[in-house]
Amino acid sequence: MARYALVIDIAKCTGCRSCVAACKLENMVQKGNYWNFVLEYEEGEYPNVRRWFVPMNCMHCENPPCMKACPEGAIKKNEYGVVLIDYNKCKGRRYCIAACPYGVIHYISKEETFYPGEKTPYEKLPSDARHPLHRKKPGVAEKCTLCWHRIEKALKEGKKPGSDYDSTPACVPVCPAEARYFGDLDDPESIVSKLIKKRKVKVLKEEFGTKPKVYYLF
Amino acid sequence: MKKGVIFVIIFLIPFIFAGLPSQKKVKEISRAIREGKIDVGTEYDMEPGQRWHNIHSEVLKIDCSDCHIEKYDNDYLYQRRYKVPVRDAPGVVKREVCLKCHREGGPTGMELYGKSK
Repeated sequence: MARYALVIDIAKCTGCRSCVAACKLENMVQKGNYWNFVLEYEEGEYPNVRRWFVPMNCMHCENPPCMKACPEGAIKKNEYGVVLIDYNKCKGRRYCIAACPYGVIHYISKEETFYPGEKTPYEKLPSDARHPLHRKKPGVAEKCTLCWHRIEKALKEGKKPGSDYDSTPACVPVCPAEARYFGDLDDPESIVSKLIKKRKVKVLKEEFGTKPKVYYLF
Repeated sequence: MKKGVIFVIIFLIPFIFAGLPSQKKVKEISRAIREGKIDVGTEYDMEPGQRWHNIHSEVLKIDCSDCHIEKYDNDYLYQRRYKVPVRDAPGVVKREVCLKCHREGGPTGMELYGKSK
């Protein structure tokens, strides 16, 4: 079985936030919340300074603390290693937000439109017409799904996820610096497996033992 | 000189760990909560006065400032560093505090985090 993962090249990332915008549009993320965001860090002293950009999204951990913390059992890791929230089961207890060491889960406190007083065509879509992972509502937690709706569609069509634009998480192909890679960790020929093997990789907050599946290249 | 340093370290230990209860005590309290000997409520929510805060601040007496930080350090990696930490925002609490009790093999029955390699 495949285990999908992301590899992000920190040395290439310019902090342009294309991934943030693409994610927002693709998943219609609630205003004020970000499934994908970029942390910034500055080091050194003038004139020898360096700015680092660290794109963050759900780490789709092998050992997800959010899943264990949820008292409603609303968070599950599927057979492809993607951690997903079931909005029908979620009661907005926010234990997942407290447990996640990466701070990548957000709570939808109220429904807000992108433009004041009007809805975009997508926002007007009835809940039933959307993918279940886009049927968010006030009072639930939300986070990156690794664009599972795209992966799922690709699998149904017999395509290899990551093989083309539509079967890859939205944040990956939009990156102008080509700093993001998506693929199957169990496939030794996938780009992510090759990069992990060849380059120096890091995962964030390793001390928590969450075994994240977002790897950072330095 | 060496003896003096050792004495200072031993003297400081109780103060360093003053905010958090001992692992043995946490184990006893966790068992008592699971057995229903300590009432922490049935409202699984994060608001003060409900189960989560009842366990951590009322029963275990963990100080608010152990988790909630008023201001981020200058080098703290956080997208909204200049905003006062608010509910639901990433980095509300420093999760290192959680790790002490909720790690694999920790004193509570709630092992949220695994072992680092």
